[in-house]
Parts: sequence; C-alpha cells; structure tokens
Amino acid sequence: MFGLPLGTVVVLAVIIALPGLAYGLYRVDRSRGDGSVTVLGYRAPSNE
Amino acid sequence: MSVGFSLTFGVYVVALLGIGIYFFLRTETTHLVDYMLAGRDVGTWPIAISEVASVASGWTFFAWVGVGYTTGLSGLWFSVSMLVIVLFLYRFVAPSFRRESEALDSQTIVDHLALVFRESRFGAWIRWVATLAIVVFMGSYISAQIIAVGEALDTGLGIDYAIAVGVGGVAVAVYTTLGGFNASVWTDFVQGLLVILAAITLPLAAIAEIGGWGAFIAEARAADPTLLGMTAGEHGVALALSIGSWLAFALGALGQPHGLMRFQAIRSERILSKASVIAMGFQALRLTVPLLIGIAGRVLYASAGDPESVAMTMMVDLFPNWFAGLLLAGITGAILSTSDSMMIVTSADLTQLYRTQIAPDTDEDTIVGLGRVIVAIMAGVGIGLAYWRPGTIFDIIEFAFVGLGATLGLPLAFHVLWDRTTGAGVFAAVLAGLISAVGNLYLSPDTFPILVWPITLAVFLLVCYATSSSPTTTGRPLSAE
Repeated sequence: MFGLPLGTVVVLAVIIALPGLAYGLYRVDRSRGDGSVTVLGYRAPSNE
Repeated sequence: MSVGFSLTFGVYVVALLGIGIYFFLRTETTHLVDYMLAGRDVGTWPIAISEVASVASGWTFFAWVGVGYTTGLSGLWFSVSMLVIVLFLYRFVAPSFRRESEALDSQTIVDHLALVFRESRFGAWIRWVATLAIVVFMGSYISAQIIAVGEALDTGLGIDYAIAVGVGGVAVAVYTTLGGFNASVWTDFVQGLLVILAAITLPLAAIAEIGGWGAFIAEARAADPTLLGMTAGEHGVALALSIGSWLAFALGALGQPHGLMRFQAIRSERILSKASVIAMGFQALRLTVPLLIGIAGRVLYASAGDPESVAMTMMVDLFPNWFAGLLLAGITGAILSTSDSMMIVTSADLTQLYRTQIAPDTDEDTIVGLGRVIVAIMAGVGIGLAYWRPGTIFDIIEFAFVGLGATLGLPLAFHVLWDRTTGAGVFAAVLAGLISAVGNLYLSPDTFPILVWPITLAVFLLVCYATSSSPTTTGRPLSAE
C-alpha cells in the first residue's frame, strides 16, 4: 500500500489512530462532566 | 545569505527577545511560582503545543532527520512507543501529579518527589541526588540543543558554527533569564506552530522535487532497499536489540522535567484530556514526518557529509528566501524552546536545593535573582559543551532523554499508581538511574540504553518491597478512582 511494506503501513496506521483514540476518550470525558479524565486513566480522589 | 532570508530570521529573534522583556517588565515574575510556573494559569493550547515543542527540540529536524537518512522508517518503533507513553502520561500520571503539585506547592519533578517524601529520612537525599542528575542530563541536553542551533545558523545563514553557537546560546539565555516560565511557554507556543508549518511544507516540497510519491518510493528503494521497512535490514538478535533500544529510548518520555513542568503549570486538571488530543496530534506529526524528510534527503543528497543537517540544506535549496527564513526561525525556535525550558527547570531545582538544604532563610527576591544567574550559567555550560561536541546530536539527546526518564519518570509514575512506593525506593531509583545511564553508555555502549530500565526498575522494586512496611517511609497514599 502506497509502495510501503505491510509492517510499515500497519505501524503508520496505529500512529494515525492514536490521536483519534485520544480524541474519542476526550469526548467521553466531556460527556461525563467537566472534562476531567474519567476513562482509561487515573485520578487521585480529591481532598477538597 | 540573502537579505530577505536574514531579515525574516532577524525579526523573529527580536520577537523572542521582546517576549522575554515583556514578561520581565510584568511584576509577576518577581514571585517564584510566577517565574517558574507562570502562576499555574496556562491554558489548553499553550500547554499542549508548548509541551510538545519543549520536548521536540533539536531532534525533530536534526537527529530524527539523521535517523531517517541513515536507517529509514525503522525509527517508527520509537514513534509509536512514544505516542503510547504520552497518552499514558496525560491520562494516568498528569491529573494526580497536577493536583498534588498544587497541594505541595512543588515547582518541578525533583521538587515534587522531595516534597512527597519530605517526612522520610530520604527526602533530602532525593533532592540532592535528583538535582545532580538534572545537572548531568540537562547540561548534556542543553549542549545538544545549542549544537543544533549552531548547525541551523551555519547552514541557513552561513554564519560560522563557532559564532552561531555563541549567538544562539546567548539569545535563549537572555529571554529566558528575563521572562521566566511565562516567556518560555509563549515562545514555545509560537515556535510550535512554526514547527507544524515546517513539518507539513518541507516533506511536500522535497517529494515534489523528487517527482511525486511514486518517484520518491522508487528512488528511496534504489538508494537503500531497507529504508522503507521496519527492520533496517537487521535480523535475529541484532533486530531485537535494535527494537529494544527504540523502546528503551521512548520510555524516557516518562520523565522529561521540562515537559512535566507543563502539567504542574496547567490551569486545571480538567483541561488535560483536551490538551492530550492536541499534543498527540502534534507528536504524531513531528515523530513521523522528519523520517520522511531524512529519506528524501538521502535521495536528493546521496553524499551528504552530515545527515543531521540535511533538512536545513533542503530548506535553503527548495524554498524562496523569505519562506526559508521563516522555517529556519521555526526550527531554530523549536530548539530554543527546549533549551529555555531546560534552563528554567535546572534553575528551579538548583534554587530549591539552595533554599531547602543550604540557606532556608533566603528571601524570595534573592531566590528569583539566583534563578536568573543559574540560567545564565547553564547557558554557558551548554555553549562550552557545544564547542566540545562529545557526540552527534542524536547520541547526546538519547543519553539525556533516557537518563531523565529512568531517574525521575519511573519513580513519579510508580508514586502516582502504586501505593507501596517508598522514599527509600525513590531515592534508590534516582541513584540507580543516574549510575546505570552513565555506566551503560560508557561500559556497554552497544546495549545502550536497554540496560538502564531493568536495572533501575529492579533496584526500585527491591528497595520498595524491603522498606514498605514502615509507614513513615511511604509518600501520600493515592487510591484508584
């Protein structure tokens, strides 16, 4: 594909997909409240 | 060197100095938290773009282009690994780190680890050894940036390398000394945007010059059949070592103090998720495109004397003078971005060491003044090392990047995620990371940096398990959500 070896194409596809994953997670976070990390992440409980 | 070329670049340097003077004239920089962390009030776009720009450094358009030129797309092992680690940092480490940092009033990662374990008898030792690690690795890292600035000005403007190193080093020292972290973030932001512009236009122009994508692929295969693959023509143990080296290198992203400082300065942990999207997009671009530029450089300049300078040569040859000047400004700017952030973080750690361990009664004005003096000294050290040139830009960056990741990133990640982390364990990890990075480089250079991580991790876990029964040695516990 595009003249590149299959392995290279797969890795490039993953590299392109990762920012998309970050965006998807952000949309989930935003829909759940104030935008804080709520999924696939970790947040120490607030002391406030 | 044309007038238009020099004029564009000159205007840019003056703008950088203007940013430094602007923030110097604002009274806020007389307070340490404002000088070092911009009052913890930096927004989403500046934090995300500057976080990448601060780490992007000389490697994007020098070291990484050199990798593309010599070994081709096998460098993508590093790219994909680092993207995963960046996402991990934003989502697993940064939220708790940001919150704890404000509660503890920590300025840097070293300051943070020392404050978390301040009740432990190892708290002070963590600060001493971690600050030593900062000086060793940051001094090296700053020199790599100044070498890159020197090469950019040498190739682009035709300024002699020796003079260019001095000019670049002094420029960054002046605006960082004056403006502190605020100047650093905003110059990083502007430079980050210019890097994106360069990363998009330069490969397009280079591939067009070769004759389009099809011709680029054919010419690259003809130059070296292994350039487009993921193995660089290696097999068996050699391939495993190569991939291991890329992964070990990428793990360094866990502990870059100048990048982590952005998390401490961000306005709220609520904007980290959004910032991660911008940072990931920028990282994906800047970790991929320079490899293609390097391969295009291999086609266009088959006998380049210095593969790490190919992007600069290409830029001068392929673009109109005014645009080449703008891109040169952006690329030089990316390098300066890293340098200024490194000087700030080194200054912060040394001033905190002075204030907490040597002279606790020192007033804030004196500390801020001392911080500025240290920035100037670190610039001098970096310029000196740049004249010496102990290795290629890539070699120096790899050493510093992995060293910082192992000594600081590993303990921070474990502290956030593992409640058995102890002060003794963190101290042991910092010491083991420092010694193993230097030892691996000088005693077993063929395996560098693969050995650094298992050694540091093993020492850390052993000491944590041996000492976690004592409640006074454990940092503030953090539980899962």
